[in-house]
Order: sequence, then C-alpha cells, then structure tokens
Amino acid sequence: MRGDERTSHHAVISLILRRLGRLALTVMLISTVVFLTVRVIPGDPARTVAGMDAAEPAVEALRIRLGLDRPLWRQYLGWLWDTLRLDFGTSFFSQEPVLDLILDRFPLTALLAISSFLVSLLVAIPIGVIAAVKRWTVWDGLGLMFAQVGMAVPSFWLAILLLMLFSVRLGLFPLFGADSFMHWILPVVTLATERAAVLVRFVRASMVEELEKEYVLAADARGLPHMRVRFSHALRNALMPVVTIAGIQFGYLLGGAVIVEQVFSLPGLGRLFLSAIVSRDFPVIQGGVVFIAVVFSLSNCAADLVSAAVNPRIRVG
Amino acid sequence: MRRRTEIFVRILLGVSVVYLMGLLVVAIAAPHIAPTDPRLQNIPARFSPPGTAGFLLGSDEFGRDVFSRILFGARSALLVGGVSVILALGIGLVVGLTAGLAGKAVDSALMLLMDAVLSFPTVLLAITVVSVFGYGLPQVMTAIGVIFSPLFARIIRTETLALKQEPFVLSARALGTPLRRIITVHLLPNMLPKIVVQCTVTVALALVVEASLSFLGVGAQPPTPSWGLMLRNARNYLFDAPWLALYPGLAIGSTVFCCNLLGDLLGELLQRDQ
Repeated sequence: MRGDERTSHHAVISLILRRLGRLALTVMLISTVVFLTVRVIPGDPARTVAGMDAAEPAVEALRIRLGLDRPLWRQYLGWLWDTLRLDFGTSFFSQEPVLDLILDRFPLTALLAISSFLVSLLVAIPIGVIAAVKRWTVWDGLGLMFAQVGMAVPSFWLAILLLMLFSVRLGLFPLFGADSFMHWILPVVTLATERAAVLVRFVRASMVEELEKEYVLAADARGLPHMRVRFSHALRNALMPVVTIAGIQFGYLLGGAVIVEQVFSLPGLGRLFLSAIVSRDFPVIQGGVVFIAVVFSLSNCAADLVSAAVNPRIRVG
Repeated sequence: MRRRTEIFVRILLGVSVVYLMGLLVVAIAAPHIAPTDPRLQNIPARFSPPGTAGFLLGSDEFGRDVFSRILFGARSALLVGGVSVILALGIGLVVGLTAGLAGKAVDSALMLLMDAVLSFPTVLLAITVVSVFGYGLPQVMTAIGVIFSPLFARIIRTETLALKQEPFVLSARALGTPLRRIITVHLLPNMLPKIVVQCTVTVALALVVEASLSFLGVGAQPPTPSWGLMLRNARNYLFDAPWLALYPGLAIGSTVFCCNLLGDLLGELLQRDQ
C-alpha cells in the first residue's frame, strides 16, 4: 500500500519536472526566435529609435548603448541571461522598464481572460452535456449550431454587433473604456462566446464517448436512476479530458483578449503590445512575446497537473 | 445517424459547397459583376444607407460602394486562404515526411519546434511576425502559412509513421523502390483524405486570422478591399452608418461557417468509410 503511494508520488514529481522542463525549453525557443527575427529585419533598430533624420554619431552612440555593436553571439547570451532574470530592458519611447509596463497592464487582461474563461465553461458544459445526452435531437442540433456559428463569427465582429445593439441602439452598456462593472460585460460575453463554441464540441464528444462505455450500459441495465448515471457517473469522467483542453483554451483567450481590448478600448496587455508594434518599440515587443509565452505555457502546464490530480490513470501511466 | 439528421446534414453540405463555389466565381469575376470600382470615391454620396440608388448595400465614409468592396474583398479573402494553406501544406509536407522517415532524433527535434510554434496564441504570433516584416497581405499570407504548418506537419508525420509499417510499404522498400516513388505512390495518396480535411479547416482559420490582422491595422492596407479592414473602419461609425459593420462581418462569418462545416462533414464521412 505505502509502496504504491510512494511510486505515485514519484510519478507526480517526475510529471511536474518533465512539464517544467518542456516549459523552459519552449520559452527558450520562443525567445531565441524573437531575438533572431528582430535582428534579421531590414533596417537598423538603432536608426529606427533615433529617427530617420538623426545624425550618424547620435545613432552610433545609441547603438553602443543598446549593445547592438557587440558580436551576435554575445548579444544572444546577454539576451538569454536578461530574459532569465525577467529583465526586458526599457521601452524605446517611454524609457520605463518593460516589465513594469507589462505588469501594469497585465491584471486587466488576466481578469478579462479569467472571467471569460469561467463564463465559457458555465455555458459550454451544460450545452455540451445536454447535446450528448439528447443526441440526434433538436437540442443536440441547437447545441452544434451554437458551436458552428460561434466559431464562424469573428470575435471583433461579434464585439461590434454587441456594441451596436446594446450600447448604441438600446443604451444599456457604456460604449468604450473599463471604468465600471458594466464596461466588462460586453467584452466578457464576446470572448466567452468564442471559447464556449470550441469547448461545446469537446464536451459533447467527450460525453458521447463516455455514455457509450459499458459501465453506463450496465448501470442502466441494473435500473439505476437514468439521470443520476449520466450526471454523476458519466459527467465526472467526461470532464477529465476537457480540463486539458480548457487549459489550452485559456491560453488562446490571452490572444483573443488583444483583439477584444482593441474593439472596446480597454487599456490591457493587448493594447500595449499593439501600440508597441505600431511604433516598433522592440524591447516591449520582445518582452511581451516572452511574457505571453510564459503565461501560455504555465496555463497549459497547470491544466496538465490538474488533470493528473483528478485522474489517477494519468499519474501512474 | 438518424435519417432526418442525415438529410439535414446533406442539405447543409450542399449549401456550403454551393456557397463556396459561388464565392470562387465571384472572386474571379469581381470586375465584371461589381457595379463600380471598389476604390472609386464619391464624397457627396458618403454614408448613403443601403438601398440608395446605385448603392445596394450602402456607401462608406469615402462614398465607396460597399457591395463592390465586398465582392472584391472575396478576392483578398480567397487569395489569403489559398496561398497560406498551400504554404502551410508545403512546409508541413517537408517537415512531416522528414520527421516520419528520418528516425527518432530528427523526429523529436522537429516536433519540438512544431510544438513551440503551436504553443503560442496564433493571432499574437502573426502580429509579431508581421510587425517585423512589414504590414500587407503578402506578409500576412506568409506568416499564416508558417504558423499553421505544424497542423499539417503533425498529421503527415503521424500518417507516415503508421503507413511505413504497412506491408505494402515494407515490401516496396524491400524491393528497392526509390524513396521518392514510395512517397508519391504509397504514402501521399493514402494520407490525402486527411490532408484535404485539414486544408478545408485551415482555410477557415486563415480567413479569421487575416480578418483579425486587417482589423487591427497590420494586415491589408487601405485602399485594398478587405473584409477585416472594412470592419476596422466601420468601428468609427457605429452611430452614423451601422450597415458598414454588418455586411463585411456577414461575409467573413458565412465563409468561415461553410469552410468549417465542409471540413467537419468531410471528416465525418471519411471516418465512417474506415
């Protein structure tokens, strides 16, 4: 008994270590790619920062200050070391540390992503489960239709439609900004719809698969209450694979948030990132990419660990 | 599947095939169908509501005909969808076949790279790439093609690994058939159905990414008629000209809907065949 427990603990620890290793590898790969792309672009970053009409000595001084005069491999090692310490340098324009800029904006984006994530689960799980239990009925058709339409409608169009209907026409919600609770509702609905559409299909597929298993047939045959078999036994098993998928979906929410923040003029990470791109503020772009890669990998990692926690079969295997 | 559902599914399949064929015709014949030049400005007639004489779907802030712009927008959309999927398929084929045939070390290295690409939000990655190489549809197509290549690489690798254990491939190799012939005659035709399904779904994904980038201002540049770009401008006139936001979105939504549906149903049919 105790031996089993110990092997199971070992398995969990090795799972965590493996996932963290992959995380480190991914982040390193992403930062290498970012480092290289910024340096292969036509044009001199120092020139971009200094402005097209700056005098050559000023550009040269800037080049030295930004470390662009050093050999590429030394720049790369320096970049890796800085990244490891989460030091992304300072913004070309506002001169503020990039990490401060990011941490300043991240809470809004994180809050938007987390609330949309919860809403999407609250919507997708019941719809997916009902569609699976009532397979090939009108309910199933409606659920699948919701999924197809939700996936086809681009989030920014949905956002505009919601704004036109609820803010312009009915005047129920404020138009732009993030000052009150009411400002949050339409952005959250937009993001949640997009994710829920994808999740519904996973929940339905997973539940259908579970309902076809023998234990459900056996429980039905033994005359256990029909609904209890479905909603307590099968549902719990069916939701396990959904946890992993949901973790990945959470990562995509961060990407979706960029667009939705733009439509609703929310001052989050997305807006910071986008304005950095428009003004070619490379430290902010690099820092933003690495930061998002870390958050994205962490959420995938967390999902894996949660599914290992709820599903002993993964732990042992 | 119950019979009624079956009939319904068939109707849906027919509708989406007809829609997509129609869209292709529209894209090719846009100069002949469109009532006016999509770039023709007519300032006095700006913000004409839909149904005004000469403006079936209204006019925009420069008095350009929305209907003509949507027809020409189909060109940008299908061009981006087509080119980026061909690019993604090309890269995916090279990487997937190499990973499947070259042995464990190469396989692990390539798949690690592919996973790294997939482990980043698509739209953000596309924005980053475009920010470095410049705005515009060619850059967007390239970025989308590269970003979606892992989707193909994974499928092709899995299929290659499975197929190369099959007796007909083993015996062809034993007979000394050249690798190129094994790939073109034995491997590719057998994985074609899955590739076709993936292509259909990827076109839909590519359309959404292109529209998103154009909406954010880093994709198609004015005055190119692009559905995403039209929505970008429409956001500024929600009060005065709501129709500007309605029709381009409808065009994107229905095209993506039909592509997704087609992909799903083809996949379902293939699965049933096996």
